Amino acid sequence: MTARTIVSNISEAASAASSSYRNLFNRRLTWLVAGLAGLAISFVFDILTGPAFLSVSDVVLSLFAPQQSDETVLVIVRSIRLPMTVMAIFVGASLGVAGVIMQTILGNPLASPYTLGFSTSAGFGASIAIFTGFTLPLVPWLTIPFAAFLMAAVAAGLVYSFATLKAMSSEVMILAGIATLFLFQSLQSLVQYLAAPEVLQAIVFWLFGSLLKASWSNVPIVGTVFIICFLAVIPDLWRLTALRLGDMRATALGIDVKRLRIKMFVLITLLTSAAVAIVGTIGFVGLVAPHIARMLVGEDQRLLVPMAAVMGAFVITTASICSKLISPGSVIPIGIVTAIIGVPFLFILILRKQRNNW
Amino acid sequence: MFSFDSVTVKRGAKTIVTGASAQCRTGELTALVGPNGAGKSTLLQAIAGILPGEGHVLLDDNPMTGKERRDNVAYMPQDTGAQSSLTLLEVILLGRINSLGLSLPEELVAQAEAALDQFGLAGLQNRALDEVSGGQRQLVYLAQALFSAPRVLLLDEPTAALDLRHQLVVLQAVRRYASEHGIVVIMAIHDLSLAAQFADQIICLDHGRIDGCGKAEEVFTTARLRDLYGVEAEIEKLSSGRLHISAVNAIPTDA
Repeated sequence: MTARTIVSNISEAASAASSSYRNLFNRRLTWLVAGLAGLAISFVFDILTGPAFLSVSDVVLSLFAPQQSDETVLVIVRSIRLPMTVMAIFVGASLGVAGVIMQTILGNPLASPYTLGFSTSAGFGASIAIFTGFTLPLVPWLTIPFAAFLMAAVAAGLVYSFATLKAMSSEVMILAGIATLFLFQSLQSLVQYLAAPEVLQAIVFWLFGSLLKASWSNVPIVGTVFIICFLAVIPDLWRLTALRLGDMRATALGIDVKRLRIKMFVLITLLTSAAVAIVGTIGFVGLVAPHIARMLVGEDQRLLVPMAAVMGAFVITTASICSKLISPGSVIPIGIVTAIIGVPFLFILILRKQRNNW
Repeated sequence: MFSFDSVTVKRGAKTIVTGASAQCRTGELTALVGPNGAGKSTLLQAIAGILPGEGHVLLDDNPMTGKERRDNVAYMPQDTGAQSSLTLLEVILLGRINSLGLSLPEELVAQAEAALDQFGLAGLQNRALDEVSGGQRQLVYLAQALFSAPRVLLLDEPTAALDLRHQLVVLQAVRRYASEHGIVVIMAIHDLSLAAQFADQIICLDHGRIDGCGKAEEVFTTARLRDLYGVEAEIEKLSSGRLHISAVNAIPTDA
């Protein structure tokens, strides 16, 4: 065998190996594109469905040629349904990203934005605002979201204070989070126990979580928080990937694990608080979207984080469509429907997969 | 030349390592031996800058800053069986985490593949880490450490999960790599015969203090092994010139 042949064989072997990795990466990338396509379809169907019947052409005209559209249709599409759908996408994406980061930094497949008690504390904040009837001067419509956001920040502060005492270890974060969760659950129950029946009804409706609260005044808030947080995660995608090897190995690779956890903790707090403050408590998405995403694109967080955002948005928009179809003429609060949609989807994926992804 | 000087590590009120000092030559392999709990892992982690400690770490007689240690010292922890579905190639790539961006150059991927190939794992590059055996996982972590192109390589029990053949494969690869690339290798290891066979220098650690340092023939004496391990040991020089160390009695002397 000549030297040239040997060099050629090595080069072919390296090229084959490289293309094998590329094939895997491209296959995973295709899943991300397919997820985006699925989201686009559910986006259109979500706008199409509702108490008033609309055709595809009505929706398309309203969105892209408003001057040719009927005024009533225009109001339904642009002022009512579109903000709800866009809100669904941002809320789902926020909870999906918060969930996947939470599972990564805690090294726990059961982690979700609920684990650390943020959603429950937001619910307590909203309940207090409804119970006391207090309104913010100048921006009364922001009272409940503000109270929810504030209380989620208080819960985050509590968990953070405890966790920093023990170097932000995942075990302490989970324990502090679960303790905070139970604390705010109890306070929430106390408020509900003390509330008059009509106030209790308002509290329970908020806790169900509903996209009906979406409007063009609050959609940009959730959207802006999501975009800022998503961009802030990008520089740390490889560090998050390394964290899947455990704290010691990540540290050995030169990663400041404590600092990374603190940064991600802040981003999770912002994402979850902003998402639930407006639309109320929407459960399960933050748990199921990361698992679906992981099964499809693996652990490389360059694909996993965006895929979790897409899957979160997809689950909520699909749940939104179902919430309008289950009982024609009315809209069932989406918080009730998300798990009903998400669980079978997750089960199908688990059964189809040959191996455990966590 | 790499050296550490007066390294002391405390955990709370307890001192784990006390004033450890030694010199290691480039291109050579140093074995760190001692009983369980002697402080081997702690010393390696302190040298790597993972654990805070007192003392100095010097490369070519220049004290190393924290950043220099992060850039030049690779530490491979003991295998804790951490489960992850990252592919083997992704694990290798993490060895150069500071060079990784949103897109990966073909050359880098090919180099990562070559790093796997040196341990015969090229065909498994898309296999998940939790789908391979403990021994293969250990080889992957070693390949990752070498992929980071360190000047100082610290290995914590690199052969613990390996069968006899792979123990030899790993240690030969490490020694060859150290010699070819002129790097310093310090490894914590329990198998004294392997340490004597592959290491150019032996450091004995006992209760956090360095008890002996030098060539295997100088360091491994029956008296020292009795003191260190509480075992009556037989040190036999084989026809190949290598030392073979085994316990004479089945029951430790202090049992």
